[in-house]
Amino acid sequence: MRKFIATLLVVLTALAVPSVALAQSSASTSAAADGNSSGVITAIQVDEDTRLVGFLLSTKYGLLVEVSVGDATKFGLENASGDRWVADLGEDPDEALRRITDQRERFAPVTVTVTNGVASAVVDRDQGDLERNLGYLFAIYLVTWAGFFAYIFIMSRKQGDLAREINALKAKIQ
Amino acid sequence: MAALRNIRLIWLVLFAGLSVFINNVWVRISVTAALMALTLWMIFLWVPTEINQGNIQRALYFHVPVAWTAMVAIVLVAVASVLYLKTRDEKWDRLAVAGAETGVIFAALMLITGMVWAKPVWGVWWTGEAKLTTTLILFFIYVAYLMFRSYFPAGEQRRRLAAIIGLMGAVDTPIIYYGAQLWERAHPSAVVGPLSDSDSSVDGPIGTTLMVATLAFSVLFVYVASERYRLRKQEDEVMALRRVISLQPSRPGSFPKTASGAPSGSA
Repeated sequence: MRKFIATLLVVLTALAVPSVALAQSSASTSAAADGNSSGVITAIQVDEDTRLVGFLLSTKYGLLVEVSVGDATKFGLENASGDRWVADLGEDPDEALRRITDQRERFAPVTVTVTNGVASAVVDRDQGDLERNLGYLFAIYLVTWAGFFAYIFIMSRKQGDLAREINALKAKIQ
Repeated sequence: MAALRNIRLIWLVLFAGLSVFINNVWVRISVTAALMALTLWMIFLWVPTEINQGNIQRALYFHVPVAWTAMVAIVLVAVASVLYLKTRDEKWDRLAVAGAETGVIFAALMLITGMVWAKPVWGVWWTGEAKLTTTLILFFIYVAYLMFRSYFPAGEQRRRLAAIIGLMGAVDTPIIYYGAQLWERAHPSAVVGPLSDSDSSVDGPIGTTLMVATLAFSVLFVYVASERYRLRKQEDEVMALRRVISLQPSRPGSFPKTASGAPSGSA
């Protein structure tokens, strides 16, 4: 039994480092297929002149999709104050990079239309239910407090039982 | 204004320090309850709603402090393990057990709250990225530590091997902290500590609320871990008393009783 547990622990420890690498490979990216994809931007790719060349989209299915952009890619994005910018990448690459960075930092979802492997349009996606996620918030607080109270309750009961047992054993010795 | 806020935070830290340095259960409960009440007031009535994520962003004030305390727990296990290996004093072993068991609770809550937050924001419950995977590994390390202690026979060898496992587990902590920086994916970069930069760090009311919540959860951790330490001490005391009883020579006339109630050896 001891040998088994010791072996198990060694194997688990040995697996810890490769499993990170495995996790990375399991979250591998794939090029966006033609059509529409929606998600949040998780990484931005620029060339040596800091010009936007693409970005990584995390879709609602947990897939990472690599999106390439070109001069003809049309952007239609709103910033946090509601100012909408509509232009091609070729017209103002700096603003395109600023807008994409802003979308990424705000976790603001976008919808990308890909044609022949290159994005033809990058627009805001409807915000969904982000403002009405009180159910999830409630679940987080409920789980946290229920967890703590259950643990403290179990612990205090055990303490009571042990205190009684200690008194009984001491009486037995005397 | 910022100076005033800092002074208030210093007072709060001193107040929280009471629970660490005064070894009294009621002081700890009172300080924890007061800080938790303040935290809840700040989260729901004081801090403004974040513009991008809406109300679900308030999960930050539970998720990050719980994650922080789970890390503190494994550091506590590692430090107590080193001290045990050096001194062979059982109190360090007890402290390591208390840290590990409390750490399991905090690590489990960190994973659950993270998943529930990820669903509305990322659209998925879980992604296989490094930060999340290494955090799950941390949880398994805690579980392995406790399983080992449950199955291995009690004694010096168990305490020594458990200390070594505790030390090995601590290696995971810096990997988790650097995870989002090294392998940038959906999980945001560090918002507090040396790795946070001007883009990722939080300040203003959000930063203040996060700091107060972290303080409150740290105090809660001290309370829960100290109670677990006390329980472990009681368990050790029961074992010691049982050993004493088993070694005691049976006294004349104190024969075990028979089913009828009469001493078995009595005429």
